[in-house]
Amino acid sequence: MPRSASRADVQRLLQEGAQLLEVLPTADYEQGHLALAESLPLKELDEQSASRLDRTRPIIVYCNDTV
Amino acid sequence: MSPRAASRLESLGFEDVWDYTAGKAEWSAFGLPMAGRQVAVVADAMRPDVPSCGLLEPVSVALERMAEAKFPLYGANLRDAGGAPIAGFKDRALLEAGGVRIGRASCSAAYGAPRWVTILTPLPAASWNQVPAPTAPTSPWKSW
Repeated sequence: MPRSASRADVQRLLQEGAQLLEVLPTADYEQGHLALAESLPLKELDEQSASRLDRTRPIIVYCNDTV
Repeated sequence: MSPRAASRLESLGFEDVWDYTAGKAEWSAFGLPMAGRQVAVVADAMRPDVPSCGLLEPVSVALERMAEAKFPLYGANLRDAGGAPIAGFKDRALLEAGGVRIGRASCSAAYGAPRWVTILTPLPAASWNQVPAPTAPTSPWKSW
């Protein structure tokens, strides 16, 4: 089960080399996103798009908030 | 949305998946680094740890913290009960950094003001007249 990350967790995981993914639509990402984040919209998230991710490093996903 | 993305990643075999549920809203509210078209870079340069006081703390606690502040306090429409400026507060200030002139001012709403504070309404015209029109930045905001 995915773990919930706090803001401090995100900062620590990024220091440790985690991958940061914004899962909102691309237009939202382009408007503004967390520095270092890459865009991988939920609608496009499948085996093929996920193949570019590194399985050996932690992955953090986020959107606007819990909605 | 992010919980579904996290679950999908796990179903695709990723084992170390985290969901930052507070997301972009919290991150930007704390002034942490953002990127993108509409990011207000000046917000990245602002400190998010300005001391304040809790709802149940008396005014004296707020005043003590303000007296300890290492940054200037502004209140263009704040006066004491006699109409004199309040010690430690400035009406406004002009800064210059990298060729950019920046006007600083602050005003307060009358709601909840203690009896020893007078809130001037409207704001003294001089507070606005001395704030110049904005100019385009010529150096990265972060540099100062």
